[in-house]
Parts: sequence; C-alpha cells; structure tokens
Amino acid sequence: MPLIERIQHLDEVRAWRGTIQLEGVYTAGVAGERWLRGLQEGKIYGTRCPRCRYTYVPARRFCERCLGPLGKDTWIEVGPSGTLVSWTRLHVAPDGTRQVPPRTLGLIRLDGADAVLVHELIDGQEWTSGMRVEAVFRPPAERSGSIRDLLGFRPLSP
Amino acid sequence: MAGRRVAIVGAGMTKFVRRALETGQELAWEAASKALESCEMTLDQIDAVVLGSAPDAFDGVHMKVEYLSPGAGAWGKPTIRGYVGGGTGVFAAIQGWYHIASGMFDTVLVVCEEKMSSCHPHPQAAFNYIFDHTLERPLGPNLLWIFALEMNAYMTKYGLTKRDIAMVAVKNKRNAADHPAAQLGDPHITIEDVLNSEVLAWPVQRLDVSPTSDGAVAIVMAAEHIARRVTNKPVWVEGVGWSLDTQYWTNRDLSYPTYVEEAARKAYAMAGIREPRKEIHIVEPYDPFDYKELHHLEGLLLADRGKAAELIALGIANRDGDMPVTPSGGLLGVGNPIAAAGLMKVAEIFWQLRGEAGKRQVPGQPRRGLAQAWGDLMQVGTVIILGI
Repeated sequence: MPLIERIQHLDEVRAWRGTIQLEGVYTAGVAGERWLRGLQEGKIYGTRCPRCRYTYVPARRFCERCLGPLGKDTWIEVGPSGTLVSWTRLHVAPDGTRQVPPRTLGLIRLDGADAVLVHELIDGQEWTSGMRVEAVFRPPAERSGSIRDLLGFRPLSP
Repeated sequence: MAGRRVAIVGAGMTKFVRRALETGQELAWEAASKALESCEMTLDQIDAVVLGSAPDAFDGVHMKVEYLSPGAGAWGKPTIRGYVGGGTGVFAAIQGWYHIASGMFDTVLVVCEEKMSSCHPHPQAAFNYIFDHTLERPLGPNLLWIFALEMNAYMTKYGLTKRDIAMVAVKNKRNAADHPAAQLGDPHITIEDVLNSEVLAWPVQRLDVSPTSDGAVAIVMAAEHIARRVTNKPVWVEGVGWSLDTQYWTNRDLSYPTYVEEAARKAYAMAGIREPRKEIHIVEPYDPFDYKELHHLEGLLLADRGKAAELIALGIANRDGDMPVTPSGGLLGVGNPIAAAGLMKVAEIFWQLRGEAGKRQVPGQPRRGLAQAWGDLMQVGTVIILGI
C-alpha cells in the first residue's frame, strides 16, 4: 500500500500549493450590535426569556428553546461579577510554536445569567473552578464596540 | 423496529496516515472498492450512495462530496452527502439505514473520506470558521482550548486525575498496535508517556489527543432479502439515534454529554434494549480525546456519571474484559480522518461481530455492539447498534 508518511516536496509533481484569497465582512446582528454598544458603555447585557426563564449572555434576539422573540423589555444588565465554571492555560500558539507567556481562558457565568461567557483570565496566578471573578473593561477611550472592549476577568477583590 | 430490516454486508478501509500520497478521490475509491470486494458485489448492484465527509476546508475543496463522488461510485446514482461534523461517520451509516429501511433502495454504498493534510499549516485553522465571527473569533478560539475547558470541568466535577484519564490513551494506542491500518499504534506506551507529553492547553497534553489523518472507510448495506443472498453473516442494524445540543457551546453541561444520552436512548428503545450494560457486548465510543471516551461511555449509560474511568482502571474495558471499549484502537490509536474515523468504528463492530477482527478479535463471540460519534459544533450525538 503506497500510503506512507512522506515529507512534502513542492518542487516535485507530487504536491501543488494553492491559496484562494477571501475575506469575510460579518454583521454583528440586530441583538449583537446592541450588545456590543453596551460593552462600549461598560455594561454587559443579557436577554431573559420569560417563558423558559433562561438568561442569554451575550444577549440574543430570540430564545432557542421556544423560538419566542426577546424584545427590548427582556434586556437586563448582568455581572460584572460572576463565577468561574472552568479554565485552561494555553502553551501552544495556533502556528504550533510555544505560547510565551501562556494565555489563560475561562468560562464565566455572570451573576444574573444562565448562559456562560468565554473570555481571557487576567491578573491572577491560581485559578480554580467555582471562584468569584469580575469583568475588567478597557478604558472608555480605547473601546470600539468589540468583544475585546472587555480585557477579561480577574479574581473578585474581597 | 421502524421500517425494513437492514444489514451491513461488507466493509473496507484504507490505512490511516498523516499524509497520504493519494487524492481524496483515490482514498474514497480504495475504501469503496475494498468494501464491494469484501462481499463480492459490483457497483452495478448498488442502488444509491451515501458519501460522508466533514468540513470542506480540510480537503480544501468546496462542495467536496461532489468532488469525491467519482471515487465513491456515485456516477449515475442517487447520492446524498452525510455531514454532521465529527458525527458524520456514524450518521452516514444511519442515512444508509433509512435509505433502505424506508423501502426506497435495496442496496447502499456508504463511503466516508477525509484528507486533512491538504490544509496547511494545520487543519486546526479551518475550525476558526466554526466560531461566532463577532463574539468568539476575536478571542482566537481553537478546539484544543475548548476541549481543555471541557476536560477541566469534567475532572473538577468528579475529582478525576490526569492519570485516570491517561489510561484511556494507553489502552487505545495499545489496542491500535494490532490494527493493520493504524497510524499511532504503540504496544509499549505507558501512562507516564502520556503524562510527560507536551502540554498543549492544560489539562490537554499531546498524547491525550488524536492525530490529524488522511483516510477513507466504506461499508455496503442491504435489505434483508439481498443481505441473506450476499452473505451468511449479515450484521443487522438494530437501533439508531441522533440528537443535537445547543450551538452555544459555553452553555452546555460540559461535564456530561446530554446529546449522547438522547441519541443513545432513541437507539436503545428501537433495539428493545432495557439494560444496555448487560446487552451491549462491545463499544466503540468516539475518542478524539481520551476524556471524551469516558464522557461518552457515561452519556451512553454504560457507566455511572464520573465512574467511566473505573471501567478502564479495572480492566473491564480491555479487549478481554467484560465490556471491551474501543477494541479497534479508536481515533487515539488508529487515527482521526474525521468522517472516516466514525465509520471505522462502525466497521470495527461489523468485523468483531463476524469474528473477522484478526488480532483485535474480542473473545467470547460478542453478539451486539454499539458505535457512537460526536460532532457538528461539538454538539451532536450519533449512535448505531449492530447485532447478529
């Protein structure tokens, strides 16, 4: 069977390199745009489905459980503190090189929310699931209406 | 049992390798022709084709099933793509089943292919396209750290150690040493090897994860009246099930795969199975990461929550144990050409139940086995139960 590991030699007939340039221009969406404008103002919003009693963060325009609309009256502020659900520390960058220093990412259930947000963990040494954390925003002048307007989460100061 | 009885009558596969010199079409052709050869059938006896393959970006060909179709014998035949991400391999077999159970077709060739090596520098990058473009991609997510978060949640909830989980990688890579198509079989691997391997995203280390692979697998499925003519050892589809969890991966129960339980319950009900731990003799749960085998055994109701690691520690899951788990060697050992890996698990149950698994043969003449896969945006459970 000719199926064996071989190093690719692009100067041979064996392989051909092909690249297609494409760029995406994505819309944030009706709820997404409003949610990101909230972040720009330093606020984290959720939308609560009154029927399913479930609060989505980031805010959504509809409830996936009942397909009911989540209108303006369902927008509520959540956080900025919450509970760490899980975390990981990255030692390898996407290109396979070592990630120095390592990045730490966490899943955070903000106070008042049922859904869980993923973001960076910062300013902390030891992380444990269940610990209390709080959101850290960029200074207002640096915000652009992006998920990166949040710098991440740090341990909640007692 | 819904619809007509359906059996698997033949199976074939390519070797799973890091980089195959063959094109995807050639891989599909090799698996498809071997499957037909295994049951002495020819392409003109096939009514329809199910062609499973995961993201187009891996092969680097958009609408890749249309591209692959010549190798899968689809010319001039009703053909459908199977695609539920990593769950595709088992789902394609389920599609083959309902094509025949419905009465529409008598024979179906099911082919699954993946050629991940086309995608440079690493197919992981193709997964960047599965995340929310506005809210998640700016964080640079990849599957390794998503699953690191899930593995950590699972370990924390049940107080499991890295060592408990590493035993799965050891078992599967050792099992794969007996598989002629395996990419990463290793009869001598130890728990220490796994625990000392490179940390990728804690708690996930290099040997906790399956490799990227090229490969293809195919099976031939037939209605009862054909199956009995083709072979004296038909392997019947007794139950199928599939279910989808929320797209918002952060909102799932990360310590328990609800989507697998929902799929398994459907399959057990259809197969008339009330006590799966007694009635399922061999299991091929989806094992792209070692902890996922444990996760999935629990979702399949074959272990109590948080207790699947005990099946491994006590040897119950060994090939000669009371309930062999992943006797093939799985994705961790045989390799993980996504869609093909799932169908490899179905083919393994087929070979095991027919007593044709060679050095991998589970003793005691098993009569019923289950294969399961997991995929889409890490949210679909697909289950098939086979019996003789």
